[in-house]
Amino acid sequence: MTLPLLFVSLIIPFLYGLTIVSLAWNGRQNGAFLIKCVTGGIVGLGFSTISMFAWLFVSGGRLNFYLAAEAVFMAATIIAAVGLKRRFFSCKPDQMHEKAVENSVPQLRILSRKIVLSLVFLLLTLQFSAVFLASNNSPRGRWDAWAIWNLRARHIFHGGSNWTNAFSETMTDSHLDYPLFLPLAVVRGWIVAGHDTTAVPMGYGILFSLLTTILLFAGIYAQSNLYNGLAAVAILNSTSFFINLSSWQYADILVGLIFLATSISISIYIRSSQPGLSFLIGLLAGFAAWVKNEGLVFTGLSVTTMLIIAVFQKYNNRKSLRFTTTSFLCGLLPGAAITLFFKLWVPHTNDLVQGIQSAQLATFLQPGRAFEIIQYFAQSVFFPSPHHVFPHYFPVGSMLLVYLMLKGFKPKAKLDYLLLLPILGMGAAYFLAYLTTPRDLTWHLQTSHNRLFMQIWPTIIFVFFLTANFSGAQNQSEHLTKTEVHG
Amino acid sequence: MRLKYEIVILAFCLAAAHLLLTTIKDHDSTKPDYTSAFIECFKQIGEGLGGQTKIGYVSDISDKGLDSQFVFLCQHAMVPVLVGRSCDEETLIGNFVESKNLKKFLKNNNYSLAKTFSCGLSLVLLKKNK
Repeated sequence: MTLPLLFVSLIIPFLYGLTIVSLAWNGRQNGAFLIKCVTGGIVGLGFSTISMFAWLFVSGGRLNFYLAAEAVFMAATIIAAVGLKRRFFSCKPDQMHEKAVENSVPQLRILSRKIVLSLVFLLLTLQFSAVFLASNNSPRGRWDAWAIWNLRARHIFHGGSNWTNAFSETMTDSHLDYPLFLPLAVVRGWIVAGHDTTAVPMGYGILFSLLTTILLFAGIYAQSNLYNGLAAVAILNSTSFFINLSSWQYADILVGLIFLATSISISIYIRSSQPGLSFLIGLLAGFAAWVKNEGLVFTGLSVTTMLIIAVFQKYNNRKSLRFTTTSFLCGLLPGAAITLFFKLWVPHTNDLVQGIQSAQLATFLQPGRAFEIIQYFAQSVFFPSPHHVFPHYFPVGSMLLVYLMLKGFKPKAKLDYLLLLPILGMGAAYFLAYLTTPRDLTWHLQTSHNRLFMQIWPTIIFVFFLTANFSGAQNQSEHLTKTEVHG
Repeated sequence: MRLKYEIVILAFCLAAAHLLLTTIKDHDSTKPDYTSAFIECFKQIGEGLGGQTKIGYVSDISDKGLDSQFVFLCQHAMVPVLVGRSCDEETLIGNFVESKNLKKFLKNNNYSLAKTFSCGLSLVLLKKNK
């Protein structure tokens, strides 16, 4: 099975997801279509993996008729969604916002729209080539790929009626409690291919990496402008570790993509308050939990963020508030429920959770451990070091930090500050996990800190462009443009 | 100010393009992938064992059950190491060693079987010197 065939096999989940997303959100601002396409892909694949997990129980592990069952499931849910849409969601497109964003686009001299789009396309092509070649060099991915994610997928694919052996006690060190979004997505590809080809996990690695870049561009284009979108694409592609990690076949890029999609949806929701959009945010936040355990924390943080937004948003009436909250919780349900079921079904507790449970108060009060964690992350992100996630000649992390220190924040909407909550919350969760880890701290930091940072890095870039003060650069250019136009 | 803004964006693009092109240029397609070699070995053995392939052991790969430091040492020395696990590990390891497919694989790929661990969980293959 070749990579193009994998992408073709994803058309049905993609169209399904796109339909769901389009039914929930009818935004038409710049970049909206790209955002819908990428979030549609995530939602479609997410529902596909949920239906496969259910099918494994129904069929006793026989995957022969899974694709037919998936088609029936998707058709039924689309019909139900259309019915719900007619019954509940009848919002007009958020034209006000569309207009506002159009007005805020600065016109520049060198960077015409065509040049910007050409540069984005060029960087995407280079990114594809770099990740493809790296993936080709190690078609089985790195350690976690064959020891956890693809191992689980192979067990389920080959296991037949013994598919539950994937969670056998003999493999407790293989993190059996990790959720199944990625392994089941890989299994789906293998079902289409007819065998367990390496092209499928490789293809997903490349796809999720490219989708992250496309979504970052579209999100910033929608909420800021085209030029900042290009800058964001360049920053992400300047992150050497992001390119490396994309070929490792780990779940970190996928979970980072979902964090980003959720944050972009929240930022759009802050401006348009469409109830359907709160449903989409719920869906994405739920799927984050279905990808990785870190996603569970993110889900909790998304719920908190939405609750705070609900407090601050001025709803027309209590009915509107209740309706929005219900939409969000309904969206949250598929991902959260399947994750909860899986966690209850798999009789294994996460090693880090065990560490936190058994941690003594003294563990939390060890300044040496805390200092080591902070030092490790600071060195990786801000200073050239062996663990640096950026190239030494281009320290992007330090540059963004210095810019923020000099210029400060100036978001377009005050509620945009709330987008910092998931980032800071995830940072605090990582810190707590390291502080209480039962494993050797230095080893644990060495093997995971950069991956964890990559989970939130695309979201950090997005929130940076949404909240940083660009008035010096862009407003003057706007002013100049207007003067030129009128003069 | 407007020009500065454009120059900064272009500088970012240049840095990104440079990094990506360097990654593409530094790509070495001749670099051996030992993980793949091992997994292929397991798959071939699994195919040779006929009906037992269904239990899924062909994909059981991990560093558990033996001295993990040894695994790391082997990896650093570019010696591939695999550990197989299944529902019936004792039978499996016996089949591994006796498997015609394994012997054929070792011969064809210039490997020698260096050790089978007493715990019955692992095989270590060494690349023969040409």
